[in-house]
Amino acid sequence: MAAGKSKPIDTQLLSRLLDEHGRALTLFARQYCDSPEDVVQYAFLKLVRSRQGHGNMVPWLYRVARNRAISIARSSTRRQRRELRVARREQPWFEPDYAEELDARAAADALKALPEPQREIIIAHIWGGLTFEQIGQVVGCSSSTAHRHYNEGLSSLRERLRSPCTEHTTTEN
Amino acid sequence: MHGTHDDGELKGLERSLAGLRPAPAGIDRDELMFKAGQAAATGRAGLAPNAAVLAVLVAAFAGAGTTWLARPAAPERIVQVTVEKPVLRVVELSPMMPAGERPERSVARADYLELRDRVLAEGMDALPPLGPAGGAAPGGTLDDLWRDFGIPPRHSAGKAWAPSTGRSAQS
Repeated sequence: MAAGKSKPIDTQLLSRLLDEHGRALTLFARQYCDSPEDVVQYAFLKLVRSRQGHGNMVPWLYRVARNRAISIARSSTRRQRRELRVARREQPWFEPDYAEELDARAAADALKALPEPQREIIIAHIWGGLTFEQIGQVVGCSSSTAHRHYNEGLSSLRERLRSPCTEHTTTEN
Repeated sequence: MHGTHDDGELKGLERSLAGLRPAPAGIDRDELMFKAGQAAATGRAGLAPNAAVLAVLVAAFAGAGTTWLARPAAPERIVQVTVEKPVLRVVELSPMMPAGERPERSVARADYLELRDRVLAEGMDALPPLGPAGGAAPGGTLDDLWRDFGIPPRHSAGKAWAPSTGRSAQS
């Protein structure tokens, strides 16, 4: 994980953070709002404005992105939320044909169908690389609660991915 | 056993999910770097006006404090006031002056006022020495006192005036 220690933010560090965590951060923000790129850019710029590196920069970026995305989603109107649901279906969450074992579209649909606490913890742990303690700091719960949500979410995903046709139809509706 | 099987399945699912790669971020790197530079410059420039305002305030307070401490003390003024002594008017009294023509201030009162002023100015030493009788009025008989009050001396017995204490009245 990049930048574990506190260090000043320079161009190289920012570029490295963007390379290593830009995709996962965008995926994490995409589950809340329809403008995840703006959210991630906001988080990086806030890190630069703070003018010094945080001890745990990556969890800090996730927390800032989560708060920003939820704030944007709450401020949007009902019509915008409906458009967001449509946009979520259209925007791919994962690169197609990258994994051999799982269908990217089916996995994304199964993820979208999960309750938010389970979904955000699974994304933060699997693709963000955060520990359950760091996830607890990001979402505001204990590490044991985060771990429990994670296991419940994985179990639900397993069930949904066993019957992809039924689940796909349910998600589309 | 069932739990272990479940755990194994979940681990396999976890690995499969980790094999998925999130879609590209879609963030314009050049734009982000440009805005990051702007943000960093704004942060540094934001400090400069604050420092300038702080310096001006410190200078203003220092100047005000110096002016306050270095201000001249109020000059001490000595005012001399001349008080005129009251002019004493001595009026000669005739023995039988009618009541309407009597002056309000008699000679005895004028003497008293003059004596009082002298005592106030010079202290107790200004008092005249007492007469040989110890309790007698200075310099006069009872007839003189009667005359001072415009009463003819025929009413008195010509004795020296003495304060009317109970003992002297009996004697």
